Amino acid sequence: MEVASTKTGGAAFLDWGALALTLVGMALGIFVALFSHDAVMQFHAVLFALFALAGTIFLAGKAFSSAPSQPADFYADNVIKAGTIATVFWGVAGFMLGDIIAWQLAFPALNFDLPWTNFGRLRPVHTSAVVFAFGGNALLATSMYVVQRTCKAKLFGGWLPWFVFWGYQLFLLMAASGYLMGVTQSKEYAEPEWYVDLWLTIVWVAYLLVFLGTIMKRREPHIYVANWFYLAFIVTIAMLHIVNNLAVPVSFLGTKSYSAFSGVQDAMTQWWYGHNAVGFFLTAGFLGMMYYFVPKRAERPVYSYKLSIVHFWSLIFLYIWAGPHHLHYTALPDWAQTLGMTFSIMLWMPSWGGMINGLMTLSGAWDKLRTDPVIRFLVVSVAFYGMSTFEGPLMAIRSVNSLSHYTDWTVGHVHSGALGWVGMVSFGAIYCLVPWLWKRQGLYSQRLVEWHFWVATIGILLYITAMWVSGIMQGLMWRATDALGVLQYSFVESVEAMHPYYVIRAIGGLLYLTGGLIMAYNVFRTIRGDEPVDVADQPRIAAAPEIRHPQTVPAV
Amino acid sequence: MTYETVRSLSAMTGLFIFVTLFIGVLVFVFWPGNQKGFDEASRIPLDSDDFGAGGNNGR
Repeated sequence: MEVASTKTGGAAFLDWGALALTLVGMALGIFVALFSHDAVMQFHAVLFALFALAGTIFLAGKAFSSAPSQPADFYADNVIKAGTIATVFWGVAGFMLGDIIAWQLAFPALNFDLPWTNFGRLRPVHTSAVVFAFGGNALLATSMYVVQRTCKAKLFGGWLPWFVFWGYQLFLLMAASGYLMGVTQSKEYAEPEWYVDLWLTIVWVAYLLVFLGTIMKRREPHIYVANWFYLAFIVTIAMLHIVNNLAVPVSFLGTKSYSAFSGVQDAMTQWWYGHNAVGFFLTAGFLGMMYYFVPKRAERPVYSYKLSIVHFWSLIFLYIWAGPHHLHYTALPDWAQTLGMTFSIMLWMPSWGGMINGLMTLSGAWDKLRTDPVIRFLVVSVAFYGMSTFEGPLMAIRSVNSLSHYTDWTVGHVHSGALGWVGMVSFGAIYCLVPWLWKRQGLYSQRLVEWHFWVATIGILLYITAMWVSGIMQGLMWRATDALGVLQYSFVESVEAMHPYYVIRAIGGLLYLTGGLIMAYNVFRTIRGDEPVDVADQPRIAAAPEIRHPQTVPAV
Repeated sequence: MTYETVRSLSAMTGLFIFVTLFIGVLVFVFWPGNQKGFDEASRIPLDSDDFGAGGNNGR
């Protein structure tokens, strides 16, 4: 580890090199802004130049100052604080956008006939905001927290984690503003155009360096299982992102590009990407979160470390093959469809193994579910993980898929995973992290966590039950024929029948958003340092490690 | 070599590799000598705070 007061030659050289790079970035932004004829590209170039300028100012401050280059703290936590705040911010924004488009589906006039508020543009803003902005920031923040604690080492790379954080926010801003202005490459969950994809690739490689660098300098001989999951997430997302986004831009000064793939190969590449975005971004990454925060909060080691290893290897070997189940009854060869279906069904095993491992970590301490709403968030998220990973393979069976595909059942399934599993495990992690990072006695209010939990849970239940009914109804109406074999319903009749369920779904989403706002308020009051109102009710583990009461009961 | 031959050969190769790897993972997991390491590793999240928070900040 570098000594605090001396800046080594290598570190200074890196600072100067990075300073030069931010100047190049700024020049590139100004050049594109001046010479591009594409208004969206110009806007993004200006945004890029402004971020580069901020980077220049930050690095110049470091390069010219004689102050110690390393803060005194043992762990680099400021970037994690920023990531936690960003998670809460993007979460509320993403839930709000989702609920707006849910109301638009029930009452189409709510798009006000404007291009920017049209469902087709807002929908990718919603999906990217919840998956990549909320989920991505949650993964950035928790992975950087967990890797430092479980490796007993400071985050690698000095300012590099800050580059990852701000570079990722720039990616999110360019992606979301591009969709609003109508720029998309029309690949689901991979909508950003070529230059935004290139930028994310750079940021992601930096993220991998930070994570791997921290593991390399660990003081702990074992690499804890959570880090395996985080690492699988980072490496696989890099591979998926690069391959699926291979494209040729029409002009280096324009947004439009054409994919390197066409026809069924394009569809297969897209769903190889798309399903593994679910498998490695929304599953493996968040399993890393589960394997740290559930044992930590319960103050018990994970139920079975052996099971966690089997869980890891079988999950990553199986998930990568499951993509073809998105393409049943298409031009994709039958054997590939069968392969996707079979591997999806095999995924039941690692998924349920992981769920059992998470749940059983609480064995002997189930009373904590009643007294600690934060652990309830974490445990209920694991239950939702088990439920949605049971439902997914079921829907991947070809004959079930013939009923469920293209219906709201799919939407309901995605949201039981996203709201129930990804959302709730992230809320649990945020509620853990905020007092720990800001060195508080506990959260501002545990009662508000209770409120958040119940409001969000009722919201999810309304959402997924409405979508089950609506989806199965759609599937049955579309295939219903009369005695002569003539279709019984027109498409628009099924749309009309969906209306009440769309209203119920939008109400469920509103409840989930309300829960997010309660969390934002609670987190804000905790960070501001307000006296907690019910600290006596909160468990020992809620307090920051520095001010935590010593353990009264010996560890198991 | 026909398309069908290539397809079935790659399927069999894949099957062989995955089954071998999975058996390897099971052997590693149930190897008696590894139990102690797993017990230690499972304690990592529970011990980790005490290091950074204590008087000795690693310097």
